[in-house]
Amino acid sequence: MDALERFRQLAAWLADTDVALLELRGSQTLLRLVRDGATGDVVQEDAPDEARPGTTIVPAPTVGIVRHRHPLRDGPLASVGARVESGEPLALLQIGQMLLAVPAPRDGVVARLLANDGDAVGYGDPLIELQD
Amino acid sequence: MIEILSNSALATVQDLGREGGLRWGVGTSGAMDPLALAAGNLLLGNEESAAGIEIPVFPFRVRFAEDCAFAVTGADCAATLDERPLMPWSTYAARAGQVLNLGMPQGGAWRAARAYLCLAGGVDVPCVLNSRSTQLRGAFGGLEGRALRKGDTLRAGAPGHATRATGIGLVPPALVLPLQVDGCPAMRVLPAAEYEGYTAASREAFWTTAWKVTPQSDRYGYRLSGEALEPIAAMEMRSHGIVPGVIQVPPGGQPIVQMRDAQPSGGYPKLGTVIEADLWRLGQAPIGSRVRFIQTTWDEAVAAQGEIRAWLDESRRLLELRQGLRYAA
Repeated sequence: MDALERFRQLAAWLADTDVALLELRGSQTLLRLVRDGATGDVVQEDAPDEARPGTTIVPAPTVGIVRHRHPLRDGPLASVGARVESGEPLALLQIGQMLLAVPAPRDGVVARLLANDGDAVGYGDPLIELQD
Repeated sequence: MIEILSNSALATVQDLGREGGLRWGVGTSGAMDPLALAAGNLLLGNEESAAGIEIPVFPFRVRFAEDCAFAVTGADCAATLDERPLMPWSTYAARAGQVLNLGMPQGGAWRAARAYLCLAGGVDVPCVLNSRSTQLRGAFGGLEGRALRKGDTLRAGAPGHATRATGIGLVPPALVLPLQVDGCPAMRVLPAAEYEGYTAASREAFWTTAWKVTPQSDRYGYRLSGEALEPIAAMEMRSHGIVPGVIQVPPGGQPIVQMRDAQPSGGYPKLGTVIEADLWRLGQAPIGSRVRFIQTTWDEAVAAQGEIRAWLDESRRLLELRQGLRYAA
């Protein structure tokens, strides 16, 4: 799907909802769709929270409430200093009663937690910093 | 296909139960925690009523002979796939040759007794009298009408490359719909036909004291211990029809709650009935734990069933939404 097709798809989804504003953040740009039948902006902005060399910022793959531990368990999924393998869940995003795992994109060590447990985050918001 | 690696005492294939057979003396069987089984099925895109494996004794090990998506719900038993820890109530995709191990149930936020292993497409065993549940007494249904043994193999209805992403989970209903009294899991109970035949002190004790789940508790019935329940006068009754949830009081005064493998008739007096919407809470109460009973009404019992239905419907809605978005992207 090319960018324009994705844009049309997003606009079509938005038209079916009562959502007033949709923002999608990429690595360098912010797409802002306003549901007034006309407005769609691509805004250039500074890349937020630029990853330091040797580190990876893990972004939220969807909107949700950040959970650093599974609700049935006491221990955290990933604590600072913990070594994690690619694919291992670093955090959960809760949407209603659904939980979505945020997998580690690569092997590494958890350097920083960039969102607090219970925070509402949007698509692309930084969640966790991994380092080599 | 999966192969059972452990001598899995009492693990059985269960679905949501065999309805409509009571007239022939065929009990319902089915999952002791139907909500956990249905949730595991929803996570995998199965029908809620698909069959899974109910596991009451741990550790439990299976090897996947082919790629297959699965979910483990019910008790959090520190599951691992080839030593890699898994989250409870969550989807995963096993590759051929991988070994799933379920350890001892963890305390955590919900102390539960039974885990459910659900497979993509459901566990494929023959349907007998409209159900795949194991009927142990009649020795039919499930796998050859018996508990699973080491070396048994079971087929998944839809093995192969997972169509659903891994790491999609649900918050267990024990946390979303909690019901406790003084820290004990509680079940709502409707007074039954012989309720008025017990002394006021015994009726009071039934509602206000904790009842211990004795080691003589299983899929047939939960034998509880506590203050002996005394009838005003001895009651002699002919055998009559009973269903899971019915609380019988034998002469010793220690109640027995009929569970999913209960026989369809009995002759002891009935003090009450655990409502259908809460029977899973008792089915998950571990041996040695204590439970409480809350008096309820018909209308409340129907409303409670509605809450269960709403939890399942909302789970399905969210999971389908997730699946739709994933597909469109």
